[in-house]
Amino acid sequence: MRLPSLPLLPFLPFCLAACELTEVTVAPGDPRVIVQAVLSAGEPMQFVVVERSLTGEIPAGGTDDAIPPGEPRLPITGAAVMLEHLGPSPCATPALTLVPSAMGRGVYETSGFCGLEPRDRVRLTVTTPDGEVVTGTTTVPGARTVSVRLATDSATTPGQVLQLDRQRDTLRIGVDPILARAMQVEVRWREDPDEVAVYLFTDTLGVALPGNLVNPFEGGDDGRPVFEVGREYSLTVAVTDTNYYDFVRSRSDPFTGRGFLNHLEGGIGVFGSVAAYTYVLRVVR
Amino acid sequence: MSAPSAISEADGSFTLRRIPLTGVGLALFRTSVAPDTVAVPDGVDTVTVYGLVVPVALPAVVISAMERPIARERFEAEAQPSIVTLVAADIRRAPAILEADVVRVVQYLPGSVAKNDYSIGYNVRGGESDQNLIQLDGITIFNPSHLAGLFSTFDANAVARTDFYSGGFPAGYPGRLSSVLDIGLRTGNTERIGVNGQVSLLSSKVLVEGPAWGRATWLASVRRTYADALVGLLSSEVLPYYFTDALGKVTMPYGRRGSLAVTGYWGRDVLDLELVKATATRESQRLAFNWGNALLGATWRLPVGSRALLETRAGVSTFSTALGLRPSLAEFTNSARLYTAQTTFMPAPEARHDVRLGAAVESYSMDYAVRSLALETDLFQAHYEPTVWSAFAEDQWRAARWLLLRPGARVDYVRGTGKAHFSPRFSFKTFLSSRDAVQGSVGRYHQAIHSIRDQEIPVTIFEFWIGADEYIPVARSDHVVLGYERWFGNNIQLTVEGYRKTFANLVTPNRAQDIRLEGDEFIPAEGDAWGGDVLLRKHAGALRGWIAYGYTRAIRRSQGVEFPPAHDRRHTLNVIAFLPGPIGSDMGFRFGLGSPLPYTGFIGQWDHRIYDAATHRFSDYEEEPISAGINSLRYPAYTRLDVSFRWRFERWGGQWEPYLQVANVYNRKNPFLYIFDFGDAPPTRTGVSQIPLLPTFGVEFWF
Repeated sequence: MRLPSLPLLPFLPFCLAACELTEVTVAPGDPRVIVQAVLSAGEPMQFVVVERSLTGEIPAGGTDDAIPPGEPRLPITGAAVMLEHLGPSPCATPALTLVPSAMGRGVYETSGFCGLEPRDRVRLTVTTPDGEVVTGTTTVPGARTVSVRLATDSATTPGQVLQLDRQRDTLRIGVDPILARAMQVEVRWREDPDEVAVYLFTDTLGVALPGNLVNPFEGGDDGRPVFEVGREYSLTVAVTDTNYYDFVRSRSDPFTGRGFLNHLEGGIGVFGSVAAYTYVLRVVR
Repeated sequence: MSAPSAISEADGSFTLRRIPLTGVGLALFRTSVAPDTVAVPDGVDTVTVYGLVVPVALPAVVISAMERPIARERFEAEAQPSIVTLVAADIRRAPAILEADVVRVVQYLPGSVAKNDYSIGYNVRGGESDQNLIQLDGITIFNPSHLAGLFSTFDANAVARTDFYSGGFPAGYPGRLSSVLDIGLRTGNTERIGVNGQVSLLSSKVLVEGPAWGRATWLASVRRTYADALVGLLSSEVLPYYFTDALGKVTMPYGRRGSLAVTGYWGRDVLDLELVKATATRESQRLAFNWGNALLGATWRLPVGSRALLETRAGVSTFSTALGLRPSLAEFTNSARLYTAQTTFMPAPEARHDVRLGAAVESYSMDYAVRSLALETDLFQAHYEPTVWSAFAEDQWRAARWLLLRPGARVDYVRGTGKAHFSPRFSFKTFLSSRDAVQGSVGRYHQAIHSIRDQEIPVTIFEFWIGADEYIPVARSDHVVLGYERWFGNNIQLTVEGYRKTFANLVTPNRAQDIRLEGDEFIPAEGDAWGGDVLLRKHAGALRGWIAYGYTRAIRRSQGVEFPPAHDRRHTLNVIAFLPGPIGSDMGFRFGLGSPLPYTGFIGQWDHRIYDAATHRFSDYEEEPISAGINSLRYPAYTRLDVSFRWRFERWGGQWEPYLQVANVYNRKNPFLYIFDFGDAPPTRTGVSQIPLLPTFGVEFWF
């Protein structure tokens, strides 16, 4: 459930009264290296996307080409991408060079990287064929406990199944964090993970989802119930580090260009980490 | 015994000082009142005189020169540079976009820069828009605009006089760094019930006034937009927006020879859009956005003995806004409240000194909250409550026949910071002749509240106010003004002024703020400005108006970066003229010219991806610009020509005034903002213009 840019609504009268100006060609921009990677503790494979910013110098391709399933619009191939496991948990191969991924050009993935535990620090170094170097460091977050509760049911172990009664239940999620800055909650159809019922991000580390919640931005005048009877959903609760938290919460302002919180050196983007815990919700009424 | 003196009040009372208690006669003269003479009984110190109202036959043409405009009186009596006074006629006749607008007219005065047609805010001599104090009958109003700035809050027909200080303002005004806009409502009609109304394309308003309880008067004005009702009437569509406001003033005698004036204002903008219809089992869901100001203030003027006046003012002013998905999904709320009280002791002006001593307190409270009741989360809360205790003193001192001095000072103690701030002021005026003078001012100014809005964003919907505390500093500015003023007769005024200002302890929003912490909400900024202003003004006659020119250079520094602020406009020219127009109309004319304003250009864009934790992949992205450096480029120059025509006639016992206004007569496409696209080759830039050719019409009436 993503909200539109509500604060822009007051600008509506301006759009009604104003005219669009003639399109003119401007000089090509100045390219930057863009690196985006979010490590997920517990995932066997990690990946890093390396690309150039769009400058208008060469056609950047359609918007459908961004990964996945395609590839970045201006991928940087041939880059040296390295992850270094800085501990404190033990790691047999603390420095690992990533290999090009089958996901697309400009995408690099791990093969045999160490498992990630809460408090582990990992450094990313990307060196492009042109010699540009981008670095970043993340501290892996975690949770001592993740609590998922309904009126008469609860789950503390990932994979557990909960029975949701829409008329009675409110789904309450709480996290006891380890170095976690925020929480991302995703509710998806189990049979089709691309169908997102809820996608929210909060730094409160606790949130409630009423069973009768309606998404007002879908379904026309009637809205769309978030939970549908008879359907099974996967509920993912991910705790996040500070880098990813800032990456999600900040954007460059379209007027001033200010605002994006960048923690990379030498480039723009994110090198963050999350720890995700997934449960099953079965809507029974 | 020194010479007799008199103080006249807005309610029609006069206080005569230093006159004998025997053998006194009062002669009464006033247009539309029969001349009369009254003998005051010996020993009596208060008399009430009733004048006989008589009709007055006026010649066909009634436009005539004022004997002495306010500015001419002030030229001779005060060391006060950087001030322009507007009267109601100036405001009503100046061409406007939709309605006559006090704040818009201020944008046409020297020293003032408007970033664009949509911004109700203005920047004065290199300062930010939150550095402008706006007061209605002495009470501060937080955000005086409607409809994202297209309408101002004040009914121009209720305004008696507006003083705009672009620098060197007196010590009696509470803390702002850059300007004071002091709007005074007029008193109600003292003789009969009067009705004034206006019907225009988007709104209607009515103002009713009259006498009450003997010597009291009242005035009330109400306005509402009705585009929402019209759209609903004429189509099946819904326009979910309207605003309404109300303004009132009561003046009455109070206490022994004193007077009391009470002013109130309330306004609300409402946007209410139903997203999900209600059913038998659930409430509707609505997108609701509303905001508004309210104020209530009282001013009590009380003669003290026969030689002094005590003016005491108290009031409350509030602003609040709420944006939410209702009833409970998400809500942002912000409120600001000010309790204020001020008392000023004014001994009767002597031949050489006019002293004012005063004390004031301003108690602020500002709250912010972002929460979702449905999701049981409190995302953000903040509270600020600075209280400012102040004392001030000032003396208009005629040191010599050719020299006026105005030493003064203000001390503000800001509870919350635990610091006192001393603001010395000094102004002078040296008469070169009876018609021209050199004048200047130096002073220090402090400001205990800030706006957290990013001042580089070109549109001001409203300011989000916060107050100084142990983390947020009190802002400071030093002004130096030097100028020359010359009068050609009693009607034409020329002022030329140069200025230099510094800004310290400004704050800009810290986007990396950790909301768990207090004190990292803002990052410091500082700056400088210098420039010059020229005003050539003709105060009366068939052709009157002004030409205002301003030259400004402004700079800001923050976190090691130096940049021009978004209002850094080198040259600003406004030509305002009121003259006889075609077909018997009264014509208003405004031509504005502004040299290029800065904006932030971009050197590219990138795909800011959205990560799905469930599937461990990037699923989507939003395009995000990469800045070339803040305000590193400039828009083209700005020009706009507006005209207005008003016709006056009498019908059905009242006076009618239909009007036609045309904004941007030659449909100049002044850029409002640019949109870059680096996603394809070649890269392109489109834009959105400011207000296009926009005719509006309506009618005003008086009964």
